[in-house]
Amino acid sequence: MNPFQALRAVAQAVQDFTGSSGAPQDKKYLEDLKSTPDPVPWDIFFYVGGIPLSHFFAYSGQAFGSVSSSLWEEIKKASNVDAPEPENWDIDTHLLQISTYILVHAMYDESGGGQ
Amino acid sequence: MSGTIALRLKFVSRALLLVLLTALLSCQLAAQESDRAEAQDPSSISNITLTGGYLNDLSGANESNGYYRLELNGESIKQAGTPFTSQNLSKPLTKPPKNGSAGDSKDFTLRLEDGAVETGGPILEALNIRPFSVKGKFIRELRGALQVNGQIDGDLSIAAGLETAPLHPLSGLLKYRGANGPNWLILGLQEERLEDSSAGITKNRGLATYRSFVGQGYKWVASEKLAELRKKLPDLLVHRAPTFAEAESLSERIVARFGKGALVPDDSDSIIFNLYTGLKYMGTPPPSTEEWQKLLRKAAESFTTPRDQPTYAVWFDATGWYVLNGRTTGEKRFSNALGLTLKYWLNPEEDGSRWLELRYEIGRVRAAPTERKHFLALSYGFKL
Repeated sequence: MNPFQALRAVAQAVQDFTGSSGAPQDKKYLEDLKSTPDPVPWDIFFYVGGIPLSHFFAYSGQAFGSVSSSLWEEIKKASNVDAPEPENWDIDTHLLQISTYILVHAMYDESGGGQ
Repeated sequence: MSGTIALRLKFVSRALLLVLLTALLSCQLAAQESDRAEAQDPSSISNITLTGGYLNDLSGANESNGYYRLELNGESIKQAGTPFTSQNLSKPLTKPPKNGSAGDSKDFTLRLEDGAVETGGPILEALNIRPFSVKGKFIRELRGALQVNGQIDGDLSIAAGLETAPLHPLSGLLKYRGANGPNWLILGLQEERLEDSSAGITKNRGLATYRSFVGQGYKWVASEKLAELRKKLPDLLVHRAPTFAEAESLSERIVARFGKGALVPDDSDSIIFNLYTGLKYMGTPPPSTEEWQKLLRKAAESFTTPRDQPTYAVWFDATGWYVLNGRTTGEKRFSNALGLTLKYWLNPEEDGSRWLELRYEIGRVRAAPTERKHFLALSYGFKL
């Protein structure tokens, strides 16, 4: 797995789960990320990486806690990485933080537990 | 009439008191925040959230009261009064245990988990049917697990907690109306059936469930908090990994540190790690220090591209269940809980760290199926 695949999987999972394309200005970048082959230009990659989850939910607070485990199932399926649900993510977590977490877990497993 | 006025005055005075208390606490916590040595860390993970408010029970069955809830990293560490109940409305189903209650000595077994169905057991062998597994698009889309164990003499055990992937039946309509908000519908099945005639055990309870959500944010305004981060993030990244070699060393530490845990890295670590790993994947020769720092600064700019936050949002959520079998005394066959919420962020330009929320909720929840809730709640909350 590379960084572009990880971010694409996370963005797709969040969109599939919420049915939303984020804030009004996010949509174009999300579509570009989806349609551009690797390597994705850095400006698109880091823009999408900087989108917070709140843009897909339009709300925040406790309601996120009750859907987070379901969303995590979507992310695991989309990325095909069996990582535990993060303990410290919330509605303000950026997509790049989640995709990094997924990528790091995949690399850690590939390296035989960090050996 | 005077009773209503008194109730309103009581409501307003208590709500104001709670707002004042939370505002005072907000100031104290904010002061602690600015004293932290790591205050320049751009991580957006909020550590502390406090919500307080007043809940007015419209059904008259229970006393109306104030409440608050203090969370640390998303976990409740202190709460009092009637807790905010919207979290219950869309609570996901619990998976049944990995090892089904019926053990492994049954005549036939069927297990559905992780997108595959597997069968087994001596009865299949006796019928000359080999254990088989099935995979398909519909099965792959199911979340949770189902386990069926049976005896040829009739004992049958079922443990199921299954849900569909989120469906979006309103997406077309919302797009037509120019909306882009979240919307989902999730259907589920929860079944527990345990028959063991030799041990004299019989349990039977089955539910078909749904949970749904539709919402929309309005009046999006530019985030000033992001503009502040945009000023300091480039220097922070360069300071953290001034050379490509430093980025390599940091990336190795990130894999070793975060690969075995359950914490997402902060923004600065994420940007450096992805830039380094991406360049390695692309086979790019190690950039010079100047080139590397230029890439870091550009990455920081893209990451903090000005973007908007909603000023207020409206959402409707609903959940319900239909009792397939095992209805308890006084329980209705079909029950629902519906909620309508209006949320207003007092400082959307600072990513909405303070808000007011008005929520109306009516119906029943699975935790108390015979009790009908009907209330209006006003909350004030903030997070750091």
